[in-house]
Amino acid sequence: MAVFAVLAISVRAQTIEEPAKQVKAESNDTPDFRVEKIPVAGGAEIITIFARNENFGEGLRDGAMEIPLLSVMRDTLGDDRLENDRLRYVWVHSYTKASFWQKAAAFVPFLYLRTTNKKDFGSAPPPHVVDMNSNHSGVWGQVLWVVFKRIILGEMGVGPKASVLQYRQNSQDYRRTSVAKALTVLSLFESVGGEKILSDAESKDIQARLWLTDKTFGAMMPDEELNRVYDKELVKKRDRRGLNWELLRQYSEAQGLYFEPMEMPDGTARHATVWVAAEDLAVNKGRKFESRFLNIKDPWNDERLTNWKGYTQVKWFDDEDRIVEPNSANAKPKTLIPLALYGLDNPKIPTILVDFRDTRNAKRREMSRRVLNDLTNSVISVSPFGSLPLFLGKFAYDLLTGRRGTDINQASRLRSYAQLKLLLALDATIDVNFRDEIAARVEKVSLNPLENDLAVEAALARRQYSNLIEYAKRNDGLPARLDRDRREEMVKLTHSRKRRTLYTAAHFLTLGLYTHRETATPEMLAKLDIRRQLNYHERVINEIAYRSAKPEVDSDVSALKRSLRFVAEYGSDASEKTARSLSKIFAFSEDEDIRSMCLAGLFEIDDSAAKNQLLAMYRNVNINERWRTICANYLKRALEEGQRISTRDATAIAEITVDSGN
Amino acid sequence: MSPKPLSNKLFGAMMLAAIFAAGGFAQSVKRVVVVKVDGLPAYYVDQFVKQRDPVTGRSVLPWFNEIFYKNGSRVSNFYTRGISLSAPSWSMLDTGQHLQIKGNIEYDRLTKHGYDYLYIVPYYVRYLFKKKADMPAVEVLDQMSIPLMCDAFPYNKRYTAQQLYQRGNSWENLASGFVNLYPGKPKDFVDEWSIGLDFLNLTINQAERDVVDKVVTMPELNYLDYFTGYFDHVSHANNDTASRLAGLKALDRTIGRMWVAIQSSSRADETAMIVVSDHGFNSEEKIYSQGFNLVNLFRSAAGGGHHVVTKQRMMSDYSIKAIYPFLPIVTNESKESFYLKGQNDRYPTVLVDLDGNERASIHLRQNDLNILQILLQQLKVKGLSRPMQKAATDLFFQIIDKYRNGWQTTAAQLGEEMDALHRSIEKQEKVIAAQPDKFTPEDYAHGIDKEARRVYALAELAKRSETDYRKYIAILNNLINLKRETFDAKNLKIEDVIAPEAMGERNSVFDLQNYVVGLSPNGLALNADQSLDLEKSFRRVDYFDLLHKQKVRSNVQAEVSSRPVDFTATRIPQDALAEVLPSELRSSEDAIWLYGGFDKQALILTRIDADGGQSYRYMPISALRQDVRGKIAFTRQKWADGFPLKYFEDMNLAVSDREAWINDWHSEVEWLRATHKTIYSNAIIGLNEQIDRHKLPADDGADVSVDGSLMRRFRQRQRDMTQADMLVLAANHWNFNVASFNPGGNHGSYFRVSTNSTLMFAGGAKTGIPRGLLIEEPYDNLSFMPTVLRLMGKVDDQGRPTPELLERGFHTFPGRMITEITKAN
Repeated sequence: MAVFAVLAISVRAQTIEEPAKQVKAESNDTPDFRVEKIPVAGGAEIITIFARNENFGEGLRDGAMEIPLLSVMRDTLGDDRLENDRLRYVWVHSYTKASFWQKAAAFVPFLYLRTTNKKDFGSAPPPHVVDMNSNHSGVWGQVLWVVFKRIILGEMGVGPKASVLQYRQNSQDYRRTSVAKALTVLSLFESVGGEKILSDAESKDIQARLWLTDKTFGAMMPDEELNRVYDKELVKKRDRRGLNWELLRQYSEAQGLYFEPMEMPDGTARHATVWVAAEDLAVNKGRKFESRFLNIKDPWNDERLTNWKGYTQVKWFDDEDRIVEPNSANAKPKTLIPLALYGLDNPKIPTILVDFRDTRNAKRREMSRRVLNDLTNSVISVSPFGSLPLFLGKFAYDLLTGRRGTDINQASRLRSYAQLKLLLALDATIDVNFRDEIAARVEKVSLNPLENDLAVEAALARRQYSNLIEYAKRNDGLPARLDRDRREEMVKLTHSRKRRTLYTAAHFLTLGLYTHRETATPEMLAKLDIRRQLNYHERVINEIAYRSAKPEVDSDVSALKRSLRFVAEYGSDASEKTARSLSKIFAFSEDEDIRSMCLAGLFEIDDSAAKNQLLAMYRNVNINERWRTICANYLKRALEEGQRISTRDATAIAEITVDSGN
Repeated sequence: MSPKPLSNKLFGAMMLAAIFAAGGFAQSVKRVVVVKVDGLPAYYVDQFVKQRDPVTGRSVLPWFNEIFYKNGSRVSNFYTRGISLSAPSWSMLDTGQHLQIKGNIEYDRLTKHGYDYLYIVPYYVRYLFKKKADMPAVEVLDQMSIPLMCDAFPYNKRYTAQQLYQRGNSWENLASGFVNLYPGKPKDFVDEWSIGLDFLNLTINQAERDVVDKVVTMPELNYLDYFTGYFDHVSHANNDTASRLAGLKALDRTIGRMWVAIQSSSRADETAMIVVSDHGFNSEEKIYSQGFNLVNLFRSAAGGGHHVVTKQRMMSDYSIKAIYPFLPIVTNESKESFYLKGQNDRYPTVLVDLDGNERASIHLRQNDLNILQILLQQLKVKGLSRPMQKAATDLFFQIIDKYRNGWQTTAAQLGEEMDALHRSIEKQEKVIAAQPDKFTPEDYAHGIDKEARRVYALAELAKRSETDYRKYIAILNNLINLKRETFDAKNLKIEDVIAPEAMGERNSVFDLQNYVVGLSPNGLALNADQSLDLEKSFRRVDYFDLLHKQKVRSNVQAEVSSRPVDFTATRIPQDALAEVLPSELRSSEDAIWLYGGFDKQALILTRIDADGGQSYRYMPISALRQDVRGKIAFTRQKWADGFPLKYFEDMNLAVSDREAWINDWHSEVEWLRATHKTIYSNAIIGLNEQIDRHKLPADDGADVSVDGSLMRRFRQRQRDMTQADMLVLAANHWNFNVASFNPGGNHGSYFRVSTNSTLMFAGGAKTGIPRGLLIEEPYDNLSFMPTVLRLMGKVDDQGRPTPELLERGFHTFPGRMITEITKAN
């Protein structure tokens, strides 16, 4: 594989309404992404990213030329207005509901292996891996789970408890692997240039939401913070990747081994293989081997390698020990034996995913912490917070393993496996025999009965994609769900927070049987349209307020003004945070229009915090008298109109005397 | 830092006062806000300032564009001088004086004392317990009476942020930083928690808030600075544009907020804002910087089997022990030592400053100390034949006799210096005893409490120095006093005569080319005349050759060489070269030898011109050797590609006839103008700055008492004792870090990417700072401080300080003034 070659990725955007947009690929070995947009009745669209490659047929053994990777539903409310669009569901097509036998196996405590594949793919669409709608239900779900675990599960004895916990862990892990796949697909897709049906901004939002699925309160994250989440996670990820790349290279080098990164189609290496040269085995016989970080057994004194019958590759090296083409001058061949394959996106150290001499090595590491957690949770049933010795023991264990970088981080290993599977599916430059070797070993390492193997996943992806499209076409399918979702979204437009909390509680207490929804009248749909636009404009305002020092210099002023105008006109339901942002923007802008609209927005927002901001500005003697007068007028009007104002502020406003001419 | 008595400066002060009265210092910048950014290359900023953001339609870095490109001046060819490393580079920026601090960590060869300039945690803890006032680098400068830029302003007229050269500390910054992690609303806090609380930038963010607030609310402040190492941190870890640009955008917003605050303040017209950086960065998207472990090389049998001292534990991020912050000096044991097995605690023989990314300073123990120790070990062995005993003893005393005079002088001088140091400690203790138990609010407001701590901290350092040096002197005297007649090796304790942990004096080129690392496998051998056969008796290593020949096994990046070492540099005393150089090439300073392989070497010759400036000459050579008597021999080579620094083949060398030009002497400015855009840029100047021994700044007002002179000599000696034997420069995209990894990129070399740094000025209407000015004339970081102080009227056009600054201990600044800015006033 050419090292660090910049691989171009092409996009074929094909939509029903639009002619295909194409960027030509620069290499046949480069997989194409085809992006497809399909309308959904009721005003939505499904955007699907496919990976294409001529070599897939061989790799996937079913002759197909492309594979659907993930789909996203964008609810457009049936118009062309971008401001009221909302991304909702993200489906990873290889993620599926488990079969009965898979579920049954997933319930068996301490069963850490994949038992069977899903055979009947059925006609149901895939379950989504994330709902982009920022909400509190995820937190509610976790709270209820803790209550259920403590009160009900605790009384059921070790057996049932262990089974339920095992199943929950397996299903969470299964979802986590799909989230990792989705993230990888989107990051690859991001490296594609040109105009896109799924914009980079949308792609970043989705990635941020996917990252947040691992955080307790992640589902509550407001949209305006998604850029920050994305930036932070991106830096963290790349930080880890580079560090692991270099750690593995240095330690392989120090032990006399050969390091080779495996590149994704976007040119980044998320995995690497470590090889030993057959020619070095005799020379290094008896040499001391330092296995820390490599986590493999001594290759220099291993008879299995001397008589190796497994996969090998012959590579040619020049005088400077660079890999060159076989016919290069002075090139010398070396027969390389793969020792291990590592994931590089792990925190602290590379994760061993495949040990070519000892399949159980990776599996043992995969299982170690899981077993420990399962034992303490299911059998001993002691929480670290309920036992000081256990708490201290766990703290010491975590400190020790974390600091030293012991390779037992199962969550990140899951992500690495998911990425590896994707790499095997997408990278046609990997030798087919080597790919099969890796794939076979990866399947043996899997701990999760809910998982399917690589070949089944490919077939599953195609089938589930078809199912999704069928589901989108059926009136009682996705359009009906879209309608339900919107009616659920309308609850926020008509009910107070207190009542909405009651509805949410009712939803969970009835195990989802009851969900409160509004009736979708044209008026409600119009309100929903305004509300979504307001959300969009609030995000613009809040983001600018966070990052700008002065919008006239560092921001898109026309976009800001558009958003300010909208809030000034339709912003009565805007949030307290937006009120604070308006106040902040007023403070650091010198643009008359911007400042006027900020004040108008604060007047329009029917919230005591907005009026409190206006009052503070009125009282600020450093602000020009003219602006303070405008503030006073707005405050007076707000009081007259009976807007929400705190009692103390209302008293203060009542005492203001102003020239109403302003 | 305490102002010095005026009495000794009277004449100079009167002269300067006369100039001052004539308006020689008058300038219009009355307040300055200095934004110090670690590791920010000017070319990188420029690239993004010129890039449009498709979302906003503006520059990707709108504030850099607005403040400095449209409304200010920028020096596009601003370079670090010396190595492109934080501690040395900031020392020149912050003092305006030649390089005294030459690494992020330095070692005293005689005492193994480690000067750790970056390790901030111990400083904070010691500050908490009132044991320290300033960061270690500031203490070193204080000992040499070299003030910082902030010292030009009274304590109550300045605000300084947390930084490497930090004078004093304010807990308010840390406390407020913590408080401000909480955004004020529970929901916002939950969101911040989910995103990840920004502990890394806690003090940096608070410093920004402080500056933004204080420029408005504290108009009495004339100097405010802000320091951020965030971009440097990100660039070490990540080589991708997205990550680095995110860091750069954050910085852009910071300067935007500061600028807006300044403009809203009452002193906007007379305030200048300056962004300055210490070095550039060698980071390229898609190329990981590869680390090469020099420590393991020196520990290996091939490398000499040394016990190696480092600043931190290797792989300290992966070590439990490394959590303990007060152990900065670590000895890495070699299991392959040839004669010091298990003696790693007492006899490390290599000190390595690795925290320098693309370079490493290497100290090897004085070669003859190794021979002495091996001979002593052999003489203690039972069964050594009588002729062999005699030969070994003869050699032992020959070596002692060779050094006896020098060592005696050193011991005697050090003794005098220690006596003077002791007297100064006694004085300091009296001052400490006279200090009040509690300070008044007024004292705090004027930094009197910190001054008291400072005296205490410096006294403690002095006490430790005295103990360490006296210990060394005692052992050295034991060695000198050994007599052939009474010599009994068997009853001699080696640690009584060979100072443990001491490296002794620097090695010669001969030593480094013939470095003794152990006894020969066949043991001692005799010549026919029954003297010891030096060739056959010892294992030797040629370190220049060893380093050059290092090669890695699997090199997976086409853009990165398989050889991690670019070249090695060391100083050759001018006397050693006097005989072999024709008169027109005779240097008046020590020369620098660059080793890029047997046939690719160079000498950089230096002479002092009639005007006091320095001129340099680059001479390509090969096969340089020094013999045991110190005689140097080499072969002069014609210019060709591949010599160190690669100027000859560099298309950016700005001269018409390159061969003729390079084969001649040129002044420093001529070299800078000709070479600064080449790959190795101002390396000729930088190598001299780094390897030359700079005298302490001339000080008309220096304490001329006997003790004052002795202390000055002692401080100069301490600096000399930090000079390494070799400076090893990494090849492009290689680094020598061992504490952890820096795959994103590094600095430390003389590559232009690493030395080109940022310097930009902007100011209010009265400051006279030109608007929209691009200065392409190259300058280096010695120019920074005099230029800023000139803008403020605190020095004249020749860099001479005002009486007020003289009073505060400032010296004439040797750097070139950036006249494009100062003359515009």
